[in-house]
Amino acid sequence: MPKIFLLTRPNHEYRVNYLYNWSDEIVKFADKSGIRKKVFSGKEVVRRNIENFVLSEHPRLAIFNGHGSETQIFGHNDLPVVDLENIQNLKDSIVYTIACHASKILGREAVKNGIEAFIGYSNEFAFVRDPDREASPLKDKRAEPFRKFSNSICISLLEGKSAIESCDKARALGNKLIEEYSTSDSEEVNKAIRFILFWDIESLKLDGNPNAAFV
Amino acid sequence: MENKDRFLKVFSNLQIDVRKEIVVVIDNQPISWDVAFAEINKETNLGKNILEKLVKMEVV
Amino acid sequence: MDEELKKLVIMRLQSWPSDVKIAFGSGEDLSRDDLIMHVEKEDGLGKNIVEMQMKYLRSFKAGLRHA
Repeated sequence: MPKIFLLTRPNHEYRVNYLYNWSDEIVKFADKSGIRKKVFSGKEVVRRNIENFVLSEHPRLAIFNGHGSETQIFGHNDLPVVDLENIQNLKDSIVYTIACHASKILGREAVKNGIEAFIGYSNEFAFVRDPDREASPLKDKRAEPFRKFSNSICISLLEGKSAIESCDKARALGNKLIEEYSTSDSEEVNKAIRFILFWDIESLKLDGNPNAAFV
Repeated sequence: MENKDRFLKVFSNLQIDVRKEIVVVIDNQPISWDVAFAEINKETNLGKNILEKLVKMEVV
Repeated sequence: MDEELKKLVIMRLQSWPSDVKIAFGSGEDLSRDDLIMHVEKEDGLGKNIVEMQMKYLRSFKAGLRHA
């Protein structure tokens, strides 16, 4: 399969806008590493665009930002771009999605339909945020550990680490972040940050081949 | 290992801010890890009560 | 749901600052009091929160969090 990676990042509302901004780091990493990529942003994240690209280019790695459900990944305006009807188009790919609950059913079905590995979350992916930073998510200190956690999976995959290594590295980072937010100089909000980090770590799920790698 | 020893082992590894968190409720009163340590270490009746609940909840 | 565990989780959540906002999936942000309401209602999210809180507390025993 060609070594291309696909990234989708809608930004129609404030929560997905956080994910949109977080993925700047992933795009920069791919550029610096000379990795071929296709990024669909904002209003471009529609079913037709994703399907056409996937069917013609067969990306080895696909990273989907956005909301979701147990059987769907959403794009712009929360319309489905990946679901049980078209998941087989991603045959032989590695998929990572932050879409809530997607690992409950879609992940399992994806692997049955030939997706080599599917990394997602069995619960909502959650993060603590500062409403005063809504306009500039990258300056939101409360959301920072969650950005680091999710992006570490993407960066690990782009570096060629296997699916299981990428998940394990993210979990280790998540646990280290919990420790960092547990020291004697902690702010009150750290109680929430620690628990929600734990929530995300526990919800992270891998279906399919643990040794699948973006090579 | 005795339950008290198990508690002390868990407690000694807890980070400072975590020790301020509520770990059990006794008679509608919230008890933090720090308070639990003081009572369990001194082997008070309250400490025995706390330890029993922590073991029952599988927290230690 | 075990009433003692429910009470414990509610008290733990009550100790969070009141202005905490959590982006939780595709609905509105949840505040500390919203999480408490879900636990009190014992709905799907409430049960998940209690289960995760207990997993979190038990994780210290396993030595996953250390000073």
